[in-house]
This record gives sequence, C-alpha cells and structure tokens, in this order.
Amino acid sequence: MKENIKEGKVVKNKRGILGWIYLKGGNFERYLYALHRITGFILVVYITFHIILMGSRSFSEDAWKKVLGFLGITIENGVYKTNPLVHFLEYLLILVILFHAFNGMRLIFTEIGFLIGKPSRPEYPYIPKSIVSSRPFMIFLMIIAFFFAIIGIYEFFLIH
Amino acid sequence: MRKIVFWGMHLLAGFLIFFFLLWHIFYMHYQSLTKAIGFGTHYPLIFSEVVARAKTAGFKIAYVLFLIFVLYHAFYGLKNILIETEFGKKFEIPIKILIILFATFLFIYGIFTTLKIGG
Repeated sequence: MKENIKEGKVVKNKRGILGWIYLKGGNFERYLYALHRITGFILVVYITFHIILMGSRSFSEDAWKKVLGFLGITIENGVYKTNPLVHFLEYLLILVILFHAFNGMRLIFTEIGFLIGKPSRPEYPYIPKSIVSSRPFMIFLMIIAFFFAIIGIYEFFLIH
Repeated sequence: MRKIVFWGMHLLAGFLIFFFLLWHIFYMHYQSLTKAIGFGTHYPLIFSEVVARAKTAGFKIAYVLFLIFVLYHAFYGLKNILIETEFGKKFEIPIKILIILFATFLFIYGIFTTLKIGG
C-alpha cells in the first residue's frame, strides 16, 4: 500500500513494495522479517516444482530417472552422482528451509503470546519489551538451526 | 471471524510442517546420520526404495498430510503477501481465485501420484 497515516495525515509510502526489504534503522527482528518473506517466496516456487517433478515416480522408472537426470542426479550401481552445482544449491535450499522453519516457529510462539512478557510502562531507551523478552528464544532457535546446518555441511560435502 | 480461523490454520499447518520437514530433511538428506541411529536408508532416491517406501501405509498417510499442510501454508502465505501490495489490493479476488485453482491442481496431482504408486 502506498499510503500511510502519520500524525493524522495521509502520507505517501514512497518505498512501496521495496519497503519490505528496506532495513535501514531496523532491529534484528526486522531483518528476520525480510528474510522470512524472501525464503517463503523461494519455498513456494520450490514446492511447486518439487511436487510436479517428484510425481514422476508414480509413472515409471524411466520417467523417474529422466527427472533425476534433469536435476543433475544419476544413479549407477546404487551410487549417486550429483552435479556439484545442483548439490550446492540443494544445500542452500536446506539452509533456506532451516531458517524459514525455525524463524517460523518463533513467529508462531510470538503470535500466540508466549515469551513476549507482560505489558508495562515504556521507559528509556524505549526498546519494546515484547522484542527483548522473546530474543533469547530467537537466539536459541537460531543456534539449533545453525547446528542442523553444520550437520548438513558434513552430510553434503564431507560424506557425499 | 473467518479470517482468524484461516490465519489460525496457517499457523497450525506451519507448526505441524516444522516436524514433518525436519523428519523429511533427515530421512532424505542426512542419510548417514539417520542410518547410524537406526532408521532411514543410504539411498532414498533409488527407484525400488522410492516405490517400496511409498507403498507403506505410514508413508502414504504422512505424504498426504504433509502435502495438505504444505500447500495450505504456502499458498495462504503467498496470498497474504500478494494482497498487501498495491497491485494485489486492486486484484484481490482474481489473485485469490488463481491461487486456489493452482493449489487445488497441485493437491489433486500430488494426491494422484502419491496414491497411484501404492496401487
């Protein structure tokens, strides 16, 4: 929306859609918000192709192998060979999923009112209590996501 | 009131996807770890394993539930983002209709391919 109400007056939102990713002066949660939208978009596009392509398994083995070949994956004598670029992109996708999943969990807990603290009088330096109270939980979730990402490095690049 | 219910379903689907997704990532991509702790397979993409897995009732039910939760969460989220824009505000109804049609197509295709493989 291009119009906002500020001090009773309607003012133009000059940034429009770019306001989603305009992060100057924002707190850390503002960055998470932008990343959540971006990763969400990526996952909607991915899931569409994933459902269509993976459905080939129900037609024939040839169709399945063709799809895997199209994705840069070949299987010979029970051993995978994956195009390095595809393999790397697959790992990036895991990162996107991990971020969206764990940040989404934080958003769900915040949305239903957990971990945001009780309302209180604003005091200097006026940092919203709801953000400060839920921040340790956010850090905890990001550490777990990071831990899974590290396991991913082991699985994707050190073993396969 | 209706919007709150849809929004609540979006959150609930997101919460459930979280667990499905972690299981999916571990089973399909972290094979050596899952194999080491006693479940999973080293080669989940080999056709014979794909078919054998898809024929079990547990996997079939999990796939169908996963499909429903993911499609709802993804396309409801997409709808929310799109109708926030200037463009989306103008074309709210057509956007909603297109998204519902597209998600329904993916749902029917996904269900068909999931159930067909199990025979």
